[in-house]
Amino acid sequence: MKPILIVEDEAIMRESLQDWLTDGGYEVESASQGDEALKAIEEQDFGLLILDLRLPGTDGLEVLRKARERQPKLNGIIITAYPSVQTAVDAMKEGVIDYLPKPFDLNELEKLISQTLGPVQVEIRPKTVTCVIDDREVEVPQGTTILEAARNIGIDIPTLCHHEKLAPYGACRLCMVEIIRGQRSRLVTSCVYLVEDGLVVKTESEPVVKIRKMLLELMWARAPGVQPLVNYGMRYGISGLETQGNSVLGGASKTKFEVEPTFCILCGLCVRYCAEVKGKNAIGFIGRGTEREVVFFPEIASKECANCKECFAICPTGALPSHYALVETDASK
Amino acid sequence: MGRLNSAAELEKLREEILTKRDPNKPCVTICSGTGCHAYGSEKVAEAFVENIKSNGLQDKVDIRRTGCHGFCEKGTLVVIFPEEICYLRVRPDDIPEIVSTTLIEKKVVDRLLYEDDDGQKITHESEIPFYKHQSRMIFGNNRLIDPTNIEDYIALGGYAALSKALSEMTPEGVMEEVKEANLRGRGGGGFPAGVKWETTRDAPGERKYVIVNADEGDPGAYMDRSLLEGNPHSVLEGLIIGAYAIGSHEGYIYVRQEYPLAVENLNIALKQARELGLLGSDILGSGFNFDVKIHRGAGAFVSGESSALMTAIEGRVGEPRPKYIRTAVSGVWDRPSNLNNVETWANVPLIINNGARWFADIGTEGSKGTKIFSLVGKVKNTGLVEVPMGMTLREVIYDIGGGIPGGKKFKAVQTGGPSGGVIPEKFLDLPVDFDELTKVGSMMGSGGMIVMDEDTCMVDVARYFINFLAGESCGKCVPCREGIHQMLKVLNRICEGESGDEDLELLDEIPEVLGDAALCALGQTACNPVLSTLRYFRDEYEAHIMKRQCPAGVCKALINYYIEPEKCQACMICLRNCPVGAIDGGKNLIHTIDQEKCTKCGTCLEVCPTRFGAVIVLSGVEVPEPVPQGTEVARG
Repeated sequence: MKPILIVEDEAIMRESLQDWLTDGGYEVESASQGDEALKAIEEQDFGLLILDLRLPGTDGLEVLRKARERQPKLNGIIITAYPSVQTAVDAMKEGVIDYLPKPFDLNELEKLISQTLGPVQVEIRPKTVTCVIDDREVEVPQGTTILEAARNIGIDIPTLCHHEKLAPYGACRLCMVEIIRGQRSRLVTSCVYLVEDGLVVKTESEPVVKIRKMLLELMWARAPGVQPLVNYGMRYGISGLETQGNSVLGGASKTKFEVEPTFCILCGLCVRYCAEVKGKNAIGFIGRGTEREVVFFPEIASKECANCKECFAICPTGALPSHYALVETDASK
Repeated sequence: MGRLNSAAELEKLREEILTKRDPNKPCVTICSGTGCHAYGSEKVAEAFVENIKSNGLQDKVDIRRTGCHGFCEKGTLVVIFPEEICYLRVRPDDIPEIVSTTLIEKKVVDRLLYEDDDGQKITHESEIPFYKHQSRMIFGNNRLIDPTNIEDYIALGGYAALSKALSEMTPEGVMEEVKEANLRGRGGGGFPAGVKWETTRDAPGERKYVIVNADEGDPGAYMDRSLLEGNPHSVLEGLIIGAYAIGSHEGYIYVRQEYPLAVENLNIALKQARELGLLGSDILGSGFNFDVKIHRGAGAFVSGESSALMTAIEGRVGEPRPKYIRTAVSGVWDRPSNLNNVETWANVPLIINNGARWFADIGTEGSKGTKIFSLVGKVKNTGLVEVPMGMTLREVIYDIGGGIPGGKKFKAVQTGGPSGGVIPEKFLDLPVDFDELTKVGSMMGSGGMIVMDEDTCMVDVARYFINFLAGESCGKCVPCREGIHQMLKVLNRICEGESGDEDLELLDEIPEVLGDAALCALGQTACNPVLSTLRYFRDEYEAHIMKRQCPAGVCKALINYYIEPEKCQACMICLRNCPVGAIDGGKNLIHTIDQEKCTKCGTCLEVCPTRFGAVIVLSGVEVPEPVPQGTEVARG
């Protein structure tokens, strides 16, 4: 099938039309001016021209006329924001297959296109990339993060702030891995870094483990005894964590850092879930540095939270209900 | 003034301005930058207006309130043209004398002149050593311009570079010129500006942004502030030229909340530029459209980080993004966004006017042009200095800065702000440029330069910066939020004499993890103050930890004040001044300090006459038993 050429000076219109048709399976080129379009037509045969009537310099009809001199059977569709009977008549005289006033229905346009060019031979073949994670080759669609790719093959990279329903946040840094490209190695956050062809990933190398251990100990000082920290602590053999079990405050001072508990690791799952999934923003962060904390905003929370509380279930520390209890107490006053 | 529709019309306006100005007419310029403003420059300016009027000279003398001249140590600064007579530390009371002596009798007021170490008076500004050794390409016009009057900028050749770029050069040509000049970013990293511009221009998407980073936040640094306040058009002109090269039609100037005068002067500058058709649609009749908005920050240091700054422009909390994609490709609203610092933009008109080759002739192999430094700390002449890249630290600190006051010894200089590091005496002859500073473990940063003398404790310095960063960490990622907090606790323990060997280990471990794991540059470089002080002054850390000794005598928990009995003259001064009554003694009786009562405020040391020098600081040693009360002074 021959490609389509869009000739449109308005960038937003041109780009969105091109994206939309490309997604529909067509091969699409574009030009912002008449002269540019004519140059493209010189170089390549097109199956269809979609032309804006008003263009700087050579107008749409003129472009079609000149294109026909080269390729007599070339079809054209005119789109215009300034429809008039006269221009419509002129267009038909030039033999355009249709004349669409803006704004037009994209489905209507696609119908016209498929009538002209025939149905698209749909071939869904998303581009894939291949990398090696812990000596195992894995092929994933382009745009997959290292974390997702690793999970695909059953490698569990630790993380406390990742959630499949939420945009990557990159805050806990536990998911850092080492990547190697040629001679160079680098530490990256696997929940954000996208897999590239030929990438070599080490998820448990020495520098990675060293970072995770310290991060766990730092978080332990804030939320001692929290289950995911206990689990990861045992996985990485941090002395002081595994023996403390579930006791929330119990003698957790054996790690490197003095315990100053806030019972929250500030992973932001609740805050982001409320904003991104529920669209409510009933809970948020205030303060910065170690003063940062999660709070329910009473104005919103008192209305929205009673029947939701979905964030309680995703809180890794289990501290959220007590934060919320404060709002309820306030509200009942 | 009407809209200018071509390069020729701009030139015509320039000629008109110059024709109506008499270069021989006396002009009193009063520095009204932040430093002088704090000294009361506004009162000085008012006094000039009043006195000139009462002497009937209002038509014969111009008065101009300018931006910062740089020699902030000696404010309020007044320079009288055309002779360029420079008066320092001018107070409102001095004005009648200046008017009658200098403006009427045409004589110099000696007592307000600069006096060098040999007592020699210097009349002209450019001959004062502080100014003489500088090359003020960017900053020099500050003293000649009233920032609220675009005519002053145009009179000095302003907007000629923009006019040249739009009428004689293609966007690609402008880009090539900046690349060839090898202009590197003045805000911190020193990334080549032209390369960044090209990335933005080539990134997909029609809408692109150009942004001025005026979120200057390093302790003691105020060069960007002074430039924006004093010469806003130079930054704006650079920005418009950059936008033309990149193909951007929208810009932002991100100014921190704490700079109200910069915002005020910028707003005036934007308005005047729009009225003249130097900003807005169809600039100078070229068909190029560009406009700019001012975005005021909300007072967070981290907002100077590019991705955090862009998040803030979008109207959200200024926290860095975790993405592995450069803001030049995907920045504000995921559109290509080119961010450069104030000083970087101000360099652009110079490059376009004079050419890349001219620019590249100044400086060193890898660092071209000049750099403005904020020279502060234990140095005689504090202020803003602009020097060619490659000048040595010694020249900056001694020739321009006048050396260390009070006969003290130089110990180190801290460059690059909180992410930078300290440089010890052995590197005083180091040429200052991006690469050389990095080699010795510091960085150029935005140009902060804090001089430290022998009385500075390097552990305390590290603690100061870590404390600053602990307060400025946004708290999003664990290593920065918790790591800096723990680092500060370690340093507090060391300074308070409560540290153990494990603290020395943590000093190595925490920075390593922070450098690798923090989300943004603030966290990644947060430990540099510790790393560089450890690198050159490890012995001081060890003295604190192992000997409970603060060699510089700064850390209160590790020092004691002591009166040497053989030197005490029993003059009663320290005894009377001690705020807690911790000094015993009397007339002719040797004074002693009651260590139990002493709060280590240091007053006794300060007030003890230098000719006696009886009060000393002890650290790491036992305080000798005091002489028995009632021991009389033995006078020889």
